[in-house]
Amino acid sequence: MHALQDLIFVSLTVTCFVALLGFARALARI
Amino acid sequence: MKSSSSLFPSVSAAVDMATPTASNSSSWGQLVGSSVRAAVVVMLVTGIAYPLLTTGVAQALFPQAANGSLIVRDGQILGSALIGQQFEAASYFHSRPSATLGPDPAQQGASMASPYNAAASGASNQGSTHQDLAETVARRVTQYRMDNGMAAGAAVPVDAVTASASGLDPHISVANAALQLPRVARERSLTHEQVQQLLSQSTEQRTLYLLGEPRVNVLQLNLALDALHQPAVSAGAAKE
Amino acid sequence: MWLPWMEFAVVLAVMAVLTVPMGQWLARCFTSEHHTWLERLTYGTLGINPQEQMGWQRYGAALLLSNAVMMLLGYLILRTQDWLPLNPLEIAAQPPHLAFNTAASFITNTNWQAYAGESSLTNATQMAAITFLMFAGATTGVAVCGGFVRGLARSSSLNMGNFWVDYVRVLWRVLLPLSLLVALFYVWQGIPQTLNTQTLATTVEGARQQLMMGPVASLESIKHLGTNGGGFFSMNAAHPFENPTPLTNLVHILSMLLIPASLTYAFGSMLLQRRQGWVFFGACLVLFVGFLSLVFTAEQGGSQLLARAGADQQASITQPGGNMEGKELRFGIADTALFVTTTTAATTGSVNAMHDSLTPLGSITPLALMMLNCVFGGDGVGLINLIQYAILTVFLAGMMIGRTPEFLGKKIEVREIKLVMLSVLAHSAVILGFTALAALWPDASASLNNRGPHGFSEILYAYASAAANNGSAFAGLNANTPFFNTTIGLAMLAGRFLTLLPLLAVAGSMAAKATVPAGPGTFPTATPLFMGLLVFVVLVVGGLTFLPALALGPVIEHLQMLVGQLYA
Repeated sequence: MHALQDLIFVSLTVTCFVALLGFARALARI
Repeated sequence: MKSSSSLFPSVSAAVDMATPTASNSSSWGQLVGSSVRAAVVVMLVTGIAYPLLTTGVAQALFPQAANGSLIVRDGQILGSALIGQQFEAASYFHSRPSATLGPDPAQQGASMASPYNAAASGASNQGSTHQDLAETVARRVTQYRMDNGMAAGAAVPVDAVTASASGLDPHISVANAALQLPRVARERSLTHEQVQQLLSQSTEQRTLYLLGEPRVNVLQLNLALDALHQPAVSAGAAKE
Repeated sequence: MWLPWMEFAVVLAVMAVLTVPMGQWLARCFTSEHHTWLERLTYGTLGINPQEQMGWQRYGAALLLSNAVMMLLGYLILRTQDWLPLNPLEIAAQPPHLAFNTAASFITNTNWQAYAGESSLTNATQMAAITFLMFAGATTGVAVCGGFVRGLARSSSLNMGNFWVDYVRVLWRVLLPLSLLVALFYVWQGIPQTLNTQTLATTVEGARQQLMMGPVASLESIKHLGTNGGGFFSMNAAHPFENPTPLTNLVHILSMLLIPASLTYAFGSMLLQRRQGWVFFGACLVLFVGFLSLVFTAEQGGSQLLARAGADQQASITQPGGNMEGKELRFGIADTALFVTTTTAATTGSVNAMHDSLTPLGSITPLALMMLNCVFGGDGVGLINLIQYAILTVFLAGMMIGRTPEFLGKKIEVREIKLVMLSVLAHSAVILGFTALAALWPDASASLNNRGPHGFSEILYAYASAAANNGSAFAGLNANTPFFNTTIGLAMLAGRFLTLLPLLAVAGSMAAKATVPAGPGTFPTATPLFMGLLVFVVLVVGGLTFLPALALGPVIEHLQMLVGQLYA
């Protein structure tokens, strides 16, 4: 049960930071 | 210490005008690798080495304070000089109300009021439009007036009827103590002057004349009263 | 009645005096060419080349990746707490949604705690996860500020320094040594520093008192110096073991303001424009004093609810008076008001009183300071946010006189304004958007401790605190639910990085520009006039954005308190 939640939250964390890296890249185009 | 320049790949010193490192997979890998190592290093240094070092030095230099400023009487730990306690008997000065909770022995998993619970600091967190707060404070005011032989409608100091932020506040205001003095003196068959003297000794003034408030440490005061009351019970009784 | 004002003046004067040497030290940190042997050892261990120069994108990438890994490491430690040593009470691991929230919270320098320290963390995690992430997040903030200012100082350059060098230097030269010294001072004053988890006592009246303790002082020092704010105990700096005396309270306050205030001086020093640094310092000071006066006057005036219930709130030489619900006696009203203002101005978030029990008008101070997020602000990010507003001010002034705005010798162009607005909007959108969501979410109202407008304030406060990376709370709100843990976690990450990254891009952009010599049309920014304009712009932009929300919360609550309206 907790293993699934761990997966969710770790993925959420990784996704957030990947999105932020993408956001930083997008800023270069402004 | 051996110069660590040999640990770096030979890169010519970057001139201010040089273009930044191009984003290719190897430099990304470099960043990730450094990040992982940084996390571990920072965790070990700040999360383990630093607290342990501080603990070692603190225990060596200030052992009493580092271990909680404990008060010991007759070999028993009575509490901490910094943490308040609940006092209910009429012969003791009473502390401020405390909103800490504790586990309810009757019901598994439920909480009940448990004043001065040092394992779970807490407060009411109620604001100026909360009905519970209005009722609780009104009740405390009535109770305080009754306990201390005051007339209905007499002014009750605000700290005597409001809960502290931590629930472990060891102090009361001088006004609060002064109003409780007659009751305590009567219960212990002491003169007002005797109790006042102990009260003054347990009163701390503002630090550097500017910081904080004048305050009375209730535990200290009550222990002094006990010491006064039972002077020759055991010859080696500690004074505090 | 002049005593509190004298105290405020003395404390702020001491802070101003400390700003200069600390500012000089920070400036040296960011500009010196010399690496110490310890730092070279660290660079070697990390596998980085201190000579490498980074553009803003690589700097930002290093920032993000280092923070990501540290957050994940923190998450791992919190989730495996039950396997680690120093756990005599057999406390369980934090559940995943709470661990996510806690790790996100501490890496973003927020230190929002949806948990009670003394009952849900072991001494091992207080050290290895909490103290660790406190250093990690704070060091990031200060380091980034160094890079940011360096970017502003350079011209026609594509580089803003090396993130790792800035990080390592701030850690070894600033935060670690100061934290150690301050921690030892704290122990002397009575803050515990032991590996023991508890001491059992039998009270005078015969009850059992379980005194929780641990390595508190080492956490306490970095908590304030790093504008972190997370408490060892649930009641934070109201707990006598975290803040036993008025002197520790003073040092907490000075610690919180030290780096944010000094960075204004360091900025001036690095740009060789000291007056500009003092203008920024002055702007922060004006706002600070204004909000301090509000909360102090409101709290000393007391709460109508308490007055109606029969409490005497008159200040005298024998009692502090005022609204003492949720306050500690050793701090009374004055020391509490100063702490409340400092902790939300410097986006620390530790508390020495319960903000949920502040009077309605008094509660506007912490809310507004978090919403503005630039009155000294958090370590590093405070100055960055203030400069964001300065750019906006220059832009508005430029529009009014019909000239291209210039700041620090560089033209402010479309790109910079777009980036600044992105940051300003991100901050507000996070606060208002999430508050609106939570107000509509069906289960959220079960978490409220106060009904009516004060309940709305509890929610507004939570997201303002998260977005501003403050971390204090109207603690009656039960935020340890999957909904709040997740949304507040996201709000903290968004608040931190969606504001930091655009401004990093601004610094990179400014670094690439050529310096324009000052001409007759240049609007001078190192003057009292500019300081006044800056304060005005901050208040107007903040006011337009947040006054409606404040009206729904504290303002209505105040009016209802006056007529005695109560909520069950």
